[in-house]
Amino acid sequence: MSTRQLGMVIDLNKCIGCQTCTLACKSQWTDRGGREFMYWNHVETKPGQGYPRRWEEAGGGWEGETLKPGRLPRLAEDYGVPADFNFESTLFQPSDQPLRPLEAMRWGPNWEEDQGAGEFPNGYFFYLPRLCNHCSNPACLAACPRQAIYKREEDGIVLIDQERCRGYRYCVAACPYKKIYFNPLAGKSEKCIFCYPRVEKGIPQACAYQCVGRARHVAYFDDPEGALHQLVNVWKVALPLHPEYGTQPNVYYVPPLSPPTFAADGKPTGAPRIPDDYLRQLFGPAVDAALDVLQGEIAKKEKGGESALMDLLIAYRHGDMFRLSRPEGGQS
Amino acid sequence: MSRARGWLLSKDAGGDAGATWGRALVWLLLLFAAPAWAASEWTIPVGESAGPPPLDPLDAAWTGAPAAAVPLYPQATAPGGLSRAYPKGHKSPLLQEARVLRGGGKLALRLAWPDATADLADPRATDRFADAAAVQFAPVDATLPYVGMGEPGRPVRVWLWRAGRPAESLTAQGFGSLARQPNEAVEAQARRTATGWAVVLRGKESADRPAAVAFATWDGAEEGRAGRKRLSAWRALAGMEPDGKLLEEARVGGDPARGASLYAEHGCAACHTAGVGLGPNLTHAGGIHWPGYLRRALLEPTAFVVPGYAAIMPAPPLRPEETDDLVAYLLTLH
Repeated sequence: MSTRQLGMVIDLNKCIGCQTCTLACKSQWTDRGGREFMYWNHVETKPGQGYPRRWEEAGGGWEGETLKPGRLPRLAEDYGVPADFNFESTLFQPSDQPLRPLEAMRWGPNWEEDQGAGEFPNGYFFYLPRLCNHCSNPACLAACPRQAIYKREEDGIVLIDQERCRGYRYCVAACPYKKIYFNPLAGKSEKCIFCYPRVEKGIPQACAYQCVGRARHVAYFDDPEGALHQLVNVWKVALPLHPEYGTQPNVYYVPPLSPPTFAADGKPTGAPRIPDDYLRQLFGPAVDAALDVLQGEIAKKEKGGESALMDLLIAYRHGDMFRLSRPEGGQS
Repeated sequence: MSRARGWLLSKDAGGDAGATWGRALVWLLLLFAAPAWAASEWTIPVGESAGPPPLDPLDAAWTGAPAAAVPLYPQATAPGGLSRAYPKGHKSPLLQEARVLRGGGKLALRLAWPDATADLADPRATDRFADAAAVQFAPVDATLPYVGMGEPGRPVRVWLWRAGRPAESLTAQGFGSLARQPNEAVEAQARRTATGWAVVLRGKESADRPAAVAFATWDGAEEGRAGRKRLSAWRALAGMEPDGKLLEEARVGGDPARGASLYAEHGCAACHTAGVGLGPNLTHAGGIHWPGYLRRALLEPTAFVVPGYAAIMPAPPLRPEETDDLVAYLLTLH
């Protein structure tokens, strides 16, 4: 545990799957040098196998005090090759060929986009943006035999010391979210750095700042006015992804509400399109109460009443979503 | 009696066919072709080369260099080791042939070992590991440091080759402490042989001339990296140690049978057993430890404690000849 912890809340009811966060991250950090296949931040469609493919079945995390074994994702099959396209022959020469990747792609960061599950008229899906959770009990840190991974005292950001890393990949196997990537060119493992060079200057992470849906809040946990404390501790509507992995993530999600299913006679039932059980699998048993609170507060607002929770989630002012100032008298 | 020679004769007893006998024969021939290595299982001969030794493992100059057969044992002391005593398809420890040449201000080692598959670092291998080999050097000191990457305050130098990557010059003072040695360049060239790898590692002969070397290999096919390796014991570099003190440490006059009774009598196995975890597992102790290290571990158990273990071992009450017996017994553990 660090002295302070910076966290993020992602409101899944506002995420439209536009991948602006993905591109903001990629163009800032991972478009070069062996990182082309990596998406430190990506948005996957749930239900689905995700990215890397079947990451939820790849092991890692904690079983009590013990690290659970995990497996290493493969480039072509699980991440997807960063394919080059036939731009030259299709766009710069007379041609009737279609634009195609030069190598057949088998997977990618949004391979199953909008696929979801369920049968018409009750099909359903939602978007799940994922990044390193900068966990309070990081399995990656514990798994490294070289102590190359550390958690910063001042903000809890988890980083891989690139000088110490020797590419053994115990961290990749140990991370149950599979958010550490091995860079085969550099021979070292890399991951989301929570945009620490920006954070140190008081600028929010690229993924959060660029989010067009105003879905991402950033704050320190010990900031009583901050969205983390408010949404996680006070309102209890923001939940960690797969809390059972035991790593205590610091990226939280406001779970998705969904319209009711239709019965055979075409009338709406009371049951939500996204099965509660599925959400419980992702966010744990606290999801029921969170959805109830959300629905209750939405109802208040719909009747013209006041809801501090809705005002916070609506985020009338973009700048209010990010509270990065450090405490007075603390580190600058 | 020579541990290595006895091992050579017994290695494929009940073996599976001509191939293994053929290999044994090759080693036997090698034994006669290069009698120098049989002089002591604790030394490694050093040949002189007129100029810098060749980097190409297939260069004819290497055929004339004296060879030593070095058995490598699985790392089973620190977490993340190997449980399989012998590599897949082998019925004996991995045997590495090592040749050392010096000349023109350079020191070079040619290592050859069996490895059925060539596993190379490649830009698509997010889930695969490269074959690798390392040479570890110890400076002249009171005794040799712990073979597992040295001890705090007693650094070892390491030359590392990983298939498909440039060679690295490193230094270490214990598990997990490997760091770049920035001012020392090392080059490597690797060739596939009929059975595995032949690699030459070549660097400057440094001012603090090494007194001993130890070897390690990692097999990509068994996800080798970090402590998932096979390693040898220290060997003194013949003629490179100034006063011969090291080799004195390697002379063990004790009786292994008496040592075995002492081992039982003092209840050593209560801690030093795989799975118990109170003391390092000694299954391969005789294969990876220098006799002087074992003696020190008995006389001053807390002088160096293997990382990950508590400093709880009391110095066993032993008469000097009993210490020798116990060391002799430990050296039989492979």
